[in-house]
Amino acid sequence: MTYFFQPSDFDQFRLMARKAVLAGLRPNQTSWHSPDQGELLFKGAEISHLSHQKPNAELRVPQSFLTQVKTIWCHRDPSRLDVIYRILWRVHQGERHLLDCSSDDDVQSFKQMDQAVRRDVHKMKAFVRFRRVSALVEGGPDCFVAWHCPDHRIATLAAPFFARRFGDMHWSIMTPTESAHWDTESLRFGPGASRDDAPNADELEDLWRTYYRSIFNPARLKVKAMKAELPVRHWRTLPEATEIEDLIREAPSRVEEMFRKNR
Amino acid sequence: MDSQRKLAILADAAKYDASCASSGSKGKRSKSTFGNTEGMGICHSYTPDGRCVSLLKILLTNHCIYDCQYCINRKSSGTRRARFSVEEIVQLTIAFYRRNYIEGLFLSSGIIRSPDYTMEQLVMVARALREDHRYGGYIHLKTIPNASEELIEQAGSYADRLSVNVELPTESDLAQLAPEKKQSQIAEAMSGIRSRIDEYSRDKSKGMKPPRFVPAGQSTQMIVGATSTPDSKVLSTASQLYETHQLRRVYYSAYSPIPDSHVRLPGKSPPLIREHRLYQADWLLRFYGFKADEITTGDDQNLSLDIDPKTAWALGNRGFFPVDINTAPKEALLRIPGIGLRNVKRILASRRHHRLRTDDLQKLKVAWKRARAFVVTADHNPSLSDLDRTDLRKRVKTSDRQMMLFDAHASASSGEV
Repeated sequence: MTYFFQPSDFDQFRLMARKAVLAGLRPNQTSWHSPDQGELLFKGAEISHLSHQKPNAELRVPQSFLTQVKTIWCHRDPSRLDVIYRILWRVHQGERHLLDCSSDDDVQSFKQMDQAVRRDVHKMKAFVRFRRVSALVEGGPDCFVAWHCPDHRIATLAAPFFARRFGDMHWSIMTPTESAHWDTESLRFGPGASRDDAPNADELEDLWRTYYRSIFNPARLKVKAMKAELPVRHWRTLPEATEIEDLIREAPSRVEEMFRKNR
Repeated sequence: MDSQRKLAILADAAKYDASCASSGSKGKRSKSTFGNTEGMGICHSYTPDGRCVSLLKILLTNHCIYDCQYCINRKSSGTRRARFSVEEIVQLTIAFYRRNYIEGLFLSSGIIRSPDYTMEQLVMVARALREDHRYGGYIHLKTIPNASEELIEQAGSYADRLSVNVELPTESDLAQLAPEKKQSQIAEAMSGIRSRIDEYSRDKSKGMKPPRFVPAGQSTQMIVGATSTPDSKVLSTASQLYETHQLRRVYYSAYSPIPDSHVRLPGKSPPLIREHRLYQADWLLRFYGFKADEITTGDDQNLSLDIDPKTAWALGNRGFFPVDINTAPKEALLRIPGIGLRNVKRILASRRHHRLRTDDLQKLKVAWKRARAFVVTADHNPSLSDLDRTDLRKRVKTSDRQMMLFDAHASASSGEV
């Protein structure tokens, strides 16, 4: 019999997975589904019937593992929950040092997903660009609003960073699937937004583009290197990206001109 | 002149400084109301030269009383000049920071009137940011050689990092290209900063709470390729700097031709591969347990351009190999070409539980083409017999084209081998 699981949030996932492992459900008896995958058409056996195989059995995992699982929860790949469950199962079956074995297939997918999400969070910290919106009411605070398109559902992982850094600002970050808001005191998360919900310019962006153009050294053109770190899919939300094409096109002639003048 | 023009001139004038790091400083400055540093630096953007844009890197002014020949801002250059006011820089930094464009400010300057006057201006910017605006983001100040001790002291209390550029690897290079600068003055400035950092750590270890002093330490930059000084000399200077002054980083900057440059300087493209090899060698010095004098050999004073310095060392020291992945100590694993620091850690963690085979290494994505002739694994490793081949160099070489496209870029920021 296959058991279908569709946890609605991370905490529920954690409880379900724990219950399933302790009930002795082998990975091939379970099928895991994300909350965003839509209501399951076919509901399998009810989890409430599950009971512990051994009444006093415990499932213990290190804190660092739990942190990684929390990170991977935000990954978009629907198979992530199955991978996590397989690892949990194997650790519970006695492979206590499984996570040290980086060349194991499950561990490898686990670590790759963990890394992908962490990179995405890092890129969000880097690529969010706030645009200032004047106060709606007189004397009220200005608001800073950003539109960003992350690869995974990471608003909850990245937002605390912005709260620490911009604690005295009112800001909102909107993504297609989630949004985060800070009012100088607390973080609030909301549903996704559309491009048009965010402002489309900021008075500082001309200066920022001037800086971007001026700090570029045409004698060291390395377009691939740039794209590896500044993936093209993020260009549409970065105000400076409008300059890239011109800078690349003009670089050879600028260098040529400099060499000619120096001769 | 409007801010836009000034920014264009003073950012252009600052771009020959390679450092853009914003890492190494952690925690919230007391009294700051916005802005912080969280240990790991963030690159907010990248320009088409593959370089990271992390800090607002500008000069206060590009007017200069010195005449260093490699420098675009030297007195005799025909470049356009501009000068920011202290307030303009402060406002620009804050406006950029609040929009999340940058991690902070990297401020340097041409020398105007006197070293002390110039340093004072830089300190005023940092002071205004910290005290008037309660700004807690990153600040890197370039210290002006020969500025007074009190000014350096103040600069260090506001900045996360201070740097003094050694500019060129030897005294004679300096005499030739930067006659107003002396190695002894530069060394003095560095040791001044170091002793203040030491004092801070001593007070701290005694349980006192001394005021912050450059939590991200000091760094420096050396220009390579402007003179004929070989890599062996560049590396021994770097190694000495790491030891004597405890620098966090030495940046190598391939001499990049500048507009209106002096006739004595090379007018060709910057030696980017050489710069990349120097960063790799620098990494070997700092994290892989290599000594400066074993990286280049007696007869060849320069690093090979076609292979990385670790592979070059392995080819010259074949007697050291093969290294057994399952039993060798960490120091020996670190010497295997194609296996980096992170994979050495992974190998050490997994071999406690099972013996590693060839396909385990491949799954870890070690650069197998480079590593295979040098390692023994739990199963048969047929490539091992290549260790005796005379054409081994050719077999382990990554093609130059690939090197240009994929490896070289990382060097500017990491240098990892």
